[in-house]
Formats: sequence, structure tokens, C-alpha cells
Amino acid sequence: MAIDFKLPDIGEGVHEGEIVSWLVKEGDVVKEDQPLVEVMTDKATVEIPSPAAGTILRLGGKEGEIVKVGSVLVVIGNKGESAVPSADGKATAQKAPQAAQAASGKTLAPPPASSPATAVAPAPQGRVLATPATRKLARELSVDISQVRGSGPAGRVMDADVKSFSQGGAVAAPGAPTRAPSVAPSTTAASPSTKSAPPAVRPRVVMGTEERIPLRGIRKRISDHMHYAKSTAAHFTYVDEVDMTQLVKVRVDLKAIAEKQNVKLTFLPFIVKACVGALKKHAYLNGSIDYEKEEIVLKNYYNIGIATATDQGLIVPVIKGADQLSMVDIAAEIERLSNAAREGKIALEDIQGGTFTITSLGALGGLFATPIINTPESAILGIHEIKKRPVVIDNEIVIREIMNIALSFDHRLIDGHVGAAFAKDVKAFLEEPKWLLVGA
Amino acid sequence: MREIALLDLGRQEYAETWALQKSLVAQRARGEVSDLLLLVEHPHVITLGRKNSNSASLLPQASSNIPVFNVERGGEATYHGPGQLVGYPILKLEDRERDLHRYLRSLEEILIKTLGDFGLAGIRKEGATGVWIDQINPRKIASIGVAVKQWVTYHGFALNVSTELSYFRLISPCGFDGSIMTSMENELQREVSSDQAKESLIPHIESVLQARIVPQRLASIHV
Repeated sequence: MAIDFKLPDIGEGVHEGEIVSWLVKEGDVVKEDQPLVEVMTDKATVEIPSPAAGTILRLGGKEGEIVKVGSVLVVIGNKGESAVPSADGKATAQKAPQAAQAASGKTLAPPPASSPATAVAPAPQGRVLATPATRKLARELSVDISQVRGSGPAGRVMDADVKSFSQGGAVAAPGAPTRAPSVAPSTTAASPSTKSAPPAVRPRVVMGTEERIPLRGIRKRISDHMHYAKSTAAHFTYVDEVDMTQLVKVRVDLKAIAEKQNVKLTFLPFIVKACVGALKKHAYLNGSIDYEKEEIVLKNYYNIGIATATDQGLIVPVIKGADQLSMVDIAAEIERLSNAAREGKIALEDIQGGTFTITSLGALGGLFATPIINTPESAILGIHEIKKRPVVIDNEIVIREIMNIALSFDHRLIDGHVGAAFAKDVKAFLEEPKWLLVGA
Repeated sequence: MREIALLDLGRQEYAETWALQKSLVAQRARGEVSDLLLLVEHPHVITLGRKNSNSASLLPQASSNIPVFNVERGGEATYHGPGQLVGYPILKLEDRERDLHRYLRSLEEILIKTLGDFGLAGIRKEGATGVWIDQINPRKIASIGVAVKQWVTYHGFALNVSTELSYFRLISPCGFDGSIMTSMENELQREVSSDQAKESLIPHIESVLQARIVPQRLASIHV
């Protein structure tokens, strides 16, 4: 008879392990104590030996997957035996969907009150392709996205698929628990005359599922890096508003010229130039701390990182030698780097060696944010939406194009008044664009 | 009481010690040898643990004349070289000892006590196995990464005694920036020899692992 071999308790406080590599495959005949799989937890790897002799009927996960202590690692039995015995294997049969889900690359924790319909649903073939927005929509509509047939490229699940599944889903899955009471409470229901009627059925609420995605790749790097930055640098954020009215006009003129060179001139190159100009005046903002040598490193080169959103997460391509590039050069470089980043083709050298970072939250609006420094750099400038706002000039209320900026800097290295002076200079350059011609 | 045979290998190429470890693990699993502790210093070498067994954590400036090995231990990349005291305990874990975290914490405890003998306050950092100095501005002084095969431990710890720290900049040690590494000499601002560190280490291994260390020569063990 087949046995489920579960991931043993391999340490106090160890709740899960990563499958590093399988040393056997399905169908292999194994001896007792033969190493089955290499599992890693924290800084330790362990080869788990087989508890018994037999044939490997099923592996409980793929390499790179996280398995919980106590979940089925392998099913060992006799050759020809099924991994899911139908006659006496109630327990095994119940675990099957769980293992199948684990094999799909993610673990959907079935809610405690999940209906039988969910438990016997066919396991998805792989991780469902969908954008985070679509996944959110699915959650809001209580749709299990793995059950939705995707109509997008490569079977990607689109918003429309989720919506139509949500509308037709109840019909398609008879026996599925109803999400909401189908009987609308009538106005008379509350009247005393209906007191003798059986109490109204309480709406049955289906517990929502949760989705678990292994933390690795770029997301893991970002997570480690952000935590490191936030736990080492002494963040201080200074917020100001910049009157962009003149620059808005200047850009209109220059944009036409840049277009002739096939370059799209956004506001970003002006902001890069303004930062370089201000960094030249305030060297500590372009510096870093070398703790090993107990030295402050002031850099005489200006490599400006531009935080760029990609499908996989935020990355920061770097414009090297921004002080030596013209406005149009910078615009072209930004375009090249952001295209490469979004296509996932960015070269390693293009994301290294930054000395200062600009992060734009412009498109999303917002008032201001408190950006996290891209360590080992010492400062980061967050820029926001340019918006028409009433301001008082010479005792008159006028409409001006205002942009908020938020500068986070490392207070270990940069005193508050130095950071503020830097922000004031960035503001001055942007408010009087002609200064950019001489200052940066 | 557990008896651990100590093999002091002096300076030995990584590949050679690695092969020796694997051979001894197999022998230990079969019960042909006792528990062992290998102490060694390697020439410059970079090893990549299972967490990153590709070269992603090597920085491009990692020069090609430093050998790189993909090894079985947990964790990411690390560097070994002159001035580093490396220890590989090869211990058979009995049923009740099969607790990997307790084993990692024991190795940390041994190193923290050893550092204490030199007036250095080693600490643990939650979620970052190894031994660190300074809670506020943590610097890593010893790295730990182990593997277990047939319930026999191998790989182990590397304590930076007088290590040239610039070599760590060739990698992202354990996923961190190379600049966070430190050494006993760097912290104490005086010379410390590996022998001094070794002398201090051994009694702490005995007390933490509740074992007796018996120095032995390699020749007395059939490899």
C-alpha cells in the first residue's frame, strides 16, 4: 500500500523548506535510506533519506518550490500502484488536490470550509498568467482565477474572462455554494405576521482563498535591498513645491526641436540636469559611506539612476556621466534604458554604479511620498505630478503649474539644512530653467 | 560523551578538502569513522551555496584566476582565503539531534564564545545566520553554511581572523554587499593569528557540543 512521506520536522522553528533538487524521479525504485531529495532551509541543506523501500509514485513538488513541514513530499508504494488509490485511500484522495496545486508552482490554501466541488476541481496545469489587477478583480468577485479560461496571449486571463466567469460561473458549477442569498428579503419578512415562519436562512459566506507565490528573483532582491536600505540609512524626507510654469513653456519649444532628432523630450531630462547642478554644489548628496575604511566617499562623477517600473518589479537603470550629456542625450538615454528595462533586456552595467536616484510618481498623482534611498547612495528625489494650482504671487491668486518634490536623504551623512539647501537648488534650477544652461 | 577527532589540515586547496569531506561523510554514515572536525585554511576561493548555484552573485570584477565551486551547503556566495579559520564538523546526527536550526545556532554559539575570548562581542542577527559584530551597524565576522547527507553534517563555518576583506567585494556574500564583512584584526586593530583563534575555539566546541576533541593525524584515518 502506498505511503505518503511528509517533509519531516527538520528543526525548531523550521516551517518550510525549499526543494533544491530531486535525487529520484517518479517510477524509480528506491531502497530504504536512499537519499530522495535535497531540501534547504535557512543556511542548511539536507538530503532526506527514504523511510522505506518501494517505487516512487509521485513527487510532491518541483525544484525551487517551497514545501511546508508536514506536507507530502513523495508517495512511495509498489510498482503499478496508483498514487491515488480509489478503494481505501480516502485520506490520500483528499490530499491529491493539495499536492497537485503544490506542483503547479503555487499553493492555494483551500479554505477550511471549501466545498467538495473545489476539492475535486481539476488542478491547473501551471501558474495562471494574469496581471495583478486582474488577480485583484478575481479576488473581489470571489473567482478562483485558476479555474478561469484565459483568452489573452498565451492563455493570459483577462479582466473580461474573470467577469464572464463570475457571471456564468454559478451556472457552470452546479453545487457550488451560493455567494449571496438568492432570496431578497421582502419588506413583509420583518412584519410580526411572519413570525411563525422558519427563521430566514443566514447568507452562507464562502471563505476567500489566499494565493502564495514564492518570493524570489527580482522581487526577492528588492525585498532584501529595501530592508537593508531602511535598516541602515537614517532616512529624512524633505518636501517642497516647485513652480514649473516656465519650464512647461520652455519644454514646449524644445520638444519640437528634439522631435526632429527623433527624441521624446519629457520633463525628466530637465530634472536630471537640475539634480546634477545641485549635486555639484552639495557633494555629500552624491556621496556614500565606506564603513570598512571609516571614510566618506565623495564622487566626482554623476551617475543618475531612474527608478523604472517593470512587470517583474522596480529596477533602477543608471544614466552614466549625466553631467557630460546634453539634454537631448539624456532624453535619448532615458528612452533606451527604460525600453530595455521594460523588455527585461537591461545589461548589468546599466543598473550599476549609480550615485543618486530619481523616482517619478508623477503619473499616479499623490501629494508626496517618502522614497527609500537606493543604498549605498545617500539621497533620492521623488517627483510628482505637475498640476495647475492657485498660488499667491504679489498678493494675487494666480494659477501656476506646481510640482511637489520629496527628497529623502541619509541623515548619517547629510545634515537637515544641507539636504534642504540641495532641494532649494533643485527647485531654483527648475523654476528658472535658463540657469540649467550655466549650472549643470 | 561525543568524541570528535580533530584533523588540522593546515593550508589546503578547496577542491582537496571538499573531496575529503565527501569521502569522510560517506564513511561516517557507514560508521567507519568517528565524528570529525576538519580545520583548514584555503587559498583564495569562492564557493556558491545552494541558494545561488549560478554566478549571479559574483560581481563582474570577480577575476577569473580565483576558482569558483558550486557546493552542497545552504546559503549563497562566500569567499575563503588566507587568514580565515575554516571548520567543517562531520557529525552524525542521532534522531533527537536532527534539528538543523539548533545545529546552526550551536555553531554560532561556539564562534561567539571564541570571539568573547578576544574581547569581541559577537551577536546573532535574526534571519541572517552567521556571527555579526555591532547591532546598530552590523558587520559580519563569520559565515556559516552547512549540508546534511544521510544525517551526517558537512561544510560548516568560516571565521575571519585576519582575512583580506577586499576579496569579499568580488561577491555579494550571502546576498549582502561585500563591504559589510569584517575580521577579528579589523575589529581589534591588532594582529591575531589563526593559531590563537584555533586554540580558543576548541574548548568552546567541546562545551557547546558536549564533546571531547581528540587531535588526530589524517594518515590514521583511511581515506
